[in-house]
Amino acid sequence: MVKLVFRSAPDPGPVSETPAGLQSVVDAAAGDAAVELFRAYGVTIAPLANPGDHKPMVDLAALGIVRFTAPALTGMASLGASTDTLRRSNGRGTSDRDWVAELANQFVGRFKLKLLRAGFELWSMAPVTVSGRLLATAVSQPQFAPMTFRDSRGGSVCVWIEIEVIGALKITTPPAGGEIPGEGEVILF
Amino acid sequence: MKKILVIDDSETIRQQVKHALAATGCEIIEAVDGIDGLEKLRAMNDLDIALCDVNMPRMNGLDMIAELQRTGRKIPILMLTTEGQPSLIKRAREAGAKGWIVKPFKPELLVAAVIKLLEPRPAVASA
Repeated sequence: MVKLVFRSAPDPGPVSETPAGLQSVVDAAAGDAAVELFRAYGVTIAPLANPGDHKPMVDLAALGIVRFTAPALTGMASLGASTDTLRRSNGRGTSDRDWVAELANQFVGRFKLKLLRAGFELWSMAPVTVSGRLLATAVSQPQFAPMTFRDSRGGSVCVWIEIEVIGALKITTPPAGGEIPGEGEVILF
Repeated sequence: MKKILVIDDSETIRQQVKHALAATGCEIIEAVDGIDGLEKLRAMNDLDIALCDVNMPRMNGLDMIAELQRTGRKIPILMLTTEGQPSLIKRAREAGAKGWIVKPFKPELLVAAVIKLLEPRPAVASA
């Protein structure tokens, strides 16, 4: 589940009300983005049937982290994968750190496009990578529950998204469907 | 031999593009961010086309192509990015980019787009 935190803006203003269905929209966007991303690179993953079955990842190759913002909103997404899963998705054999950063970047890109179609526009920045070993203790805490996916060989992909909404959340009219390109689409001007 | 500049902070993406474009016989030059890309575009007059990411450290792709437009350097640029907001696409078009591809790219579509942009443009008849 995506972690959503709401707090009042420092200046007098309306307290954010949770838009109806926001939690389910972001959860669905995150889950679908992860599955579609790895499928695009030849790895089939599926969410854990019971999120309570999540166990601490002992083989976390590396973690890619992307920060994103929007008016009245700030957040971050982290994506980590076990070594075998990460390397099977990388057809070029480049470093785990480089590839997980790019995967995190593409994951957030998919997540953002899904939210854009729902009227939420996010802006993101270049990803950073942290070695999985450095975070192994932190991400092993029972209360630090990511969205977890398994592949057919027992490998894992984990996604953590935290979003903090400060004040009134801005929801816009989504752009017309044809204005938002899909992944892989080429537009020549 | 045509020369293609690939500007992306991810080595994996640069290698993916290189692999996809290998059959075109073009020489691939790599740059790791907008600053590096700008420096190579200024230094190398024989580059035929550039593929450019958006979210990069030091200088992002949209700022890079805007800066390039200011210098008057003419070269077809294809944006290759995870972004898809219509406002960013409009911004790229207005800064002179010739196309936009959302990652992950399909190799055959990337090759087709590059070949299309490398085609000689017909001369415009003067009045």
